Amino acid sequence: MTAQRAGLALIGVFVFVGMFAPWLWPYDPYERVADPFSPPSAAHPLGANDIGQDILSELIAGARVTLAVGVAAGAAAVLVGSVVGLLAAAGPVPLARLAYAATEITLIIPKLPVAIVVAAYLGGGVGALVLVIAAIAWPVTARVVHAQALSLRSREYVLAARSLGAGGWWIARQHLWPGVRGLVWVQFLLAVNTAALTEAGLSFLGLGDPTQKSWGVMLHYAHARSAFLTDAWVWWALPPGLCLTLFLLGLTLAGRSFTGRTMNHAK
Amino acid sequence: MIRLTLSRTGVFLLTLWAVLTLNFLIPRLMPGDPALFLLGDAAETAPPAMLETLRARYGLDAPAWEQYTAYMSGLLRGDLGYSLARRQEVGAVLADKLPWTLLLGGVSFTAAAVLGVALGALSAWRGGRLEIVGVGVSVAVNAMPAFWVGMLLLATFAARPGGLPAFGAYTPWAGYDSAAAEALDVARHLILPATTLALALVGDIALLTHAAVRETMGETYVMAARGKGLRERDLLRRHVLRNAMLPLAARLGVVAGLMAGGSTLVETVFSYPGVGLTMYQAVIARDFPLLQGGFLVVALAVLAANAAAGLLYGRLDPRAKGGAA
Repeated sequence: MTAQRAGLALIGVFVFVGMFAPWLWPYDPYERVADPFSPPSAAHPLGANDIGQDILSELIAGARVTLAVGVAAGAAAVLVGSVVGLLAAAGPVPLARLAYAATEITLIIPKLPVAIVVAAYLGGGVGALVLVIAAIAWPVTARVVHAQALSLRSREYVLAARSLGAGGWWIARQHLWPGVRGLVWVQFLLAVNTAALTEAGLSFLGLGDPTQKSWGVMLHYAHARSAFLTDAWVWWALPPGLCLTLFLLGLTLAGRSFTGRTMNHAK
Repeated sequence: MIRLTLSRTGVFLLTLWAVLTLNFLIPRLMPGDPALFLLGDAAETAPPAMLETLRARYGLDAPAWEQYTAYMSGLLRGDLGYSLARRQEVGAVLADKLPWTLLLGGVSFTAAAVLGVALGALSAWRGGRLEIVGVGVSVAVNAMPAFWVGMLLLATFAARPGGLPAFGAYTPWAGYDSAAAEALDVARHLILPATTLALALVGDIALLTHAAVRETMGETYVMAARGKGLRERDLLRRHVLRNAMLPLAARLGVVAGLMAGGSTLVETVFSYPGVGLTMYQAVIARDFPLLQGGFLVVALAVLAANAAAGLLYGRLDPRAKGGAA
């Protein structure tokens, strides 16, 4: 499982940088410390952005914001998804049907477009972003948890528990959840992946939180100031996207097994 | 046991209803006055009489149920609302933009499907080093955000004299001599956005094909076909790929959903005049009727793709028709 180890190592690097960002960045990324559009120099290895903020410091701050939004939204999505999935598998009939239908329907509605509309109404803000992303990311977990819990439901020990008079809540907590727990970790990694990518997309479209330096926000300004028309794209547009790619790659490698079928068996 | 399986048609109709209702509910559930949202940027300067006119036009002072039925019957007549920012019917704006999105999506999807299936099938079929490289490339490409890839392509291929066009879908006021010249111009504008969107889809398709081919390769009927001396190429094409296509067909709807999000970002990067760019411009202009109209069009297109995927699946897999296996 070397690919999985490599993935965890990549995630580890970004978690470390994100946690200790204020001690790692050479300048305050929210302060103007150089001439606008400065090319790389000894003092500013990646140059400065359009208002003279140090790009390397922005990049380090970006790990913090991207990680925070990704983990918060990913955790919320997996929590909601697990509850809905278990409800669909073991809840009382009308509720189970509702949970199942809600999952199937939400899966089909295109994620980013609906996120764009809701984010546009809510206005920028980290809290709004987390809410919007969690609201579109939960059904993937719900479907996987539902499928697994359904197959556990008909195992003998669960049938035995039920014949002894155990209620739905007891069965879900004592017998289904332990069997589903292992999947949830993988689902969490995938949900953080979706969340980080969605945050970047929304921020790129100008729907993120402009007061927080995420990689998506950096790319938004790089594109808005046409960095791709000059040499500036090498130090302004390339690094944030590369960081995002490596982070997403780490999550994918850690969460999936590619030797056989993917561990996420939702089709 | 609880019967939880909904029929495909049932899910489709439910989702259609959910999308239409969601579109109705979003502006009314958000904090703030929906009439102010309708005005967008003009909200602060508009006279109160204008707010009243808007409330009456959209029936915002009527009971919720009446608003809902009015909204639904409006949709049936093709009324998507009015864009104050553009002084145009939303439906007319979007009808203008939709062909570009369909062109971009169609070309990108075709390229991604051909490339992805070839890459996935070959890497699984050949195995060895090719498989490691094929899967590695697919995973890496899959991790790259589409809009970033677009920016890099812009910097590499458009930002120099004689490079490919950096924005738009055609040269304005070009005055083409012939239809061929026009087609060439449109094609040149399409290259970069279509490549970007195709790259956003190709990894997913390749990985799925890879997994499906690997699984099918172990089946006994493949062994039997090989045993009777079928050439490897025919074996792959007739026996393995045909079955391996099934999970891909089942996932077409998901791919359509990915495309809907991807094309919004890609059109924005390249200022490609489709529905996605229109939604972005609507966000910037706080033009909420247009934004919602765009969402509705995109969501309905994805729904249609899902329905088409279901039909295709039924054709590919005789078992799915409910007949004898």
